[in-house]
Amino acid sequence: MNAPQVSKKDLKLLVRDRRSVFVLIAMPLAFIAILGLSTGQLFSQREKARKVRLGIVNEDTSDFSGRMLTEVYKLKALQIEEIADRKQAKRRLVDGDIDVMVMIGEHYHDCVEKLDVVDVVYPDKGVLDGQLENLDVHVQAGAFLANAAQVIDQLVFSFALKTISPYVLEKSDSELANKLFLKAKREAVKREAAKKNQADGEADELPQAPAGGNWVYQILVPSYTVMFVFFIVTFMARSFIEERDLQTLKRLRIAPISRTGLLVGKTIPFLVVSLVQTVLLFLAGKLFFGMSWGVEPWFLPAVMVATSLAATALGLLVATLVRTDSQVSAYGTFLVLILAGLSGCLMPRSWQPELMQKMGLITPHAWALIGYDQLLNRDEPDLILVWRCVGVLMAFAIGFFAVGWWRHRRVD
Amino acid sequence: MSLLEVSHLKKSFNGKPAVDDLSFRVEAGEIFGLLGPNGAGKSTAMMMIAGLSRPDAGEVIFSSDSNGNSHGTATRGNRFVLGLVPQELAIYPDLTGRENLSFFAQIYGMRGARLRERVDHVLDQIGLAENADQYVRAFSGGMKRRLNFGAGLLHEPQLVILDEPTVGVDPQSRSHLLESVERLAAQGVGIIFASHYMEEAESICHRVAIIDHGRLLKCGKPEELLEAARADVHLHIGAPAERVEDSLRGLADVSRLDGHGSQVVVRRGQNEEPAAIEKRLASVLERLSTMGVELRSIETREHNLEQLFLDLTGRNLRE
Repeated sequence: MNAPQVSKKDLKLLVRDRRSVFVLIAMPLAFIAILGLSTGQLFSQREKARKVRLGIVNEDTSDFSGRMLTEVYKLKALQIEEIADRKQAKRRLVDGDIDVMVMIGEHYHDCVEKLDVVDVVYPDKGVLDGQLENLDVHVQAGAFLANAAQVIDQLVFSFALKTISPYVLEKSDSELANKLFLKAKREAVKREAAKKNQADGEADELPQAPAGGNWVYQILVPSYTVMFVFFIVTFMARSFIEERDLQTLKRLRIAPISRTGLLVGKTIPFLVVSLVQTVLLFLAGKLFFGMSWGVEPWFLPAVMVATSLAATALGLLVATLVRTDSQVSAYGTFLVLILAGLSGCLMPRSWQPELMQKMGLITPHAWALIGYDQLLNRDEPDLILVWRCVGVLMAFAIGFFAVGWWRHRRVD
Repeated sequence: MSLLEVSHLKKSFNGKPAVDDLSFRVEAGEIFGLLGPNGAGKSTAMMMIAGLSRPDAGEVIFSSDSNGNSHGTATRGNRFVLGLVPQELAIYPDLTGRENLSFFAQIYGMRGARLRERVDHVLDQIGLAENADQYVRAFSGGMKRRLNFGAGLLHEPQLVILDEPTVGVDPQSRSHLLESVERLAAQGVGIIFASHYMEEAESICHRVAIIDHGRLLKCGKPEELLEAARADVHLHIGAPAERVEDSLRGLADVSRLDGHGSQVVVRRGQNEEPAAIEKRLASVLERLSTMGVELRSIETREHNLEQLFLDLTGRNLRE
């Protein structure tokens, strides 16, 4: 069998083709870097999540609003700025300088004074009716964070209740209030010590990938690696077309090499290139983007090999379906991008609707992504699921190769 | 037994015959010319001989076939016997000349010292030893043709199929290629030589087969075929064609020449006796004399394969 000679020759030709190196290695790296930067993750530097910029206009001069704002200031997810008047705040909201504005009206303390204990125990009923506006506090958000208004509204409402409840209770029954406060204070002191450490730093950092990597690249690197691994399809198809157009296929067909030997020989170099591509992208992910290889990195090669086998076998099949270079460019690229889109390479699978996630399972890409997700992003990867993914990818590979072999026989 | 025997080969595409009952044989050391215009069926016939296409009917028999078994196409065993030099440049432009030859030699199972020896030998044979380590894309058209030729010789085949090996080649490379073909034949290699260039075929082929529409029209040694064909007599006269046409109808063809005068051609028919053409020529001369037409020149033109093909098919080889 002379398949190794065919492989050696094709590998030499592939390595000499700078376009393939660019598309298979440089392009995915560029995509990962650009998308990483777009999400605020500059290479391996872990940037803090961008805070919601909150503008506050406080027209109330009482302690009530001051106490409520003290609570608001404790939220580290907010970047708070006090603004002199409503007009200026609204302009800054329109300009996008702030995301949300909170306006505490001058009647805030008057509203508080009118409350009874029933209003703070059942805030959805009575005077408040669950509306912050009934305390003369108004929340407004800009176009980009329209939904944030509701969240901030609820937060401020809860902070208001927290800070005005003691006053309302004391005003209603001072003796009972004192008893309750003393008991609560003792309990609070005990709990504070226990919770101190746990509370420190919370909400300061981004959500962390369980294995300690940069979560953006934990998703981007495998996604774009899988997508670009399947770009090998177009290179394989071109190689077969070139072999036919150059008439070297004719020469090989009268040479003592079997059809299977020829197909295997032509497939192996692309498998090798695909594996090298995957390893390089994962290495780059680790070295440049702070990506973690998870807690079970020894299982990664299985997913890598199975994915590359599926990609190269699909390449063989596509090679038998297209006749010209322009068909490769049109259909090959279309196929690669459609499969990538369906599978979740372009948008994380967890963000996709359930139906889309199920549809994605018809692509080998999706199984590769599920396998990588288990290994890269889980503290306790489901290894049975990983092996199932490897099995499905191998089944895809065998199926594609069998149909490709049969098609090659037919079209030859 | 002949090196190759092609017997009643048939092949149709969409009901249209491409090769129709084609039979010939090639002996060891023989250069066998396969002549015909585009679409005559040469390439289809060669593809069937090479085993790249299955015939609808007929047999291709190699002398190397064990037990003398006949079969439709070249078998796996015959792949070592057969060398193919396609009309297109079946070589890799992004490999060097040496890498190309090494690859094809390895495909035929050569390794180590034997591989190096054969590659060096073929590089010498095709005159590319000095350019062996250049990328093929940097080669001239002639050098590529020579490499294409050399790639078909690496495994020392007993029969080489050359499909238009000199198309688009400079005179130096053409001469080199033809000499190499003759040397191969001298070493006992049988060669099927398909070409549009009749002078080439006439000069190097031991026998030729003329095919058209997939059918064999003539087969034999070039000199025998030409001997059997006629030799025409061309008269250059000082009168317009219209003046003599009616008078010479049935005796000769008249055509207008550029400038003054016309050409009168007295053709020798297929297998016609020399006396018959002499008789017609005498009649033509007598009538021209009667009409007072000036006879400027008279010459006998020997036939070549191109004219023979024209006579046989009514169309030009390059059509």
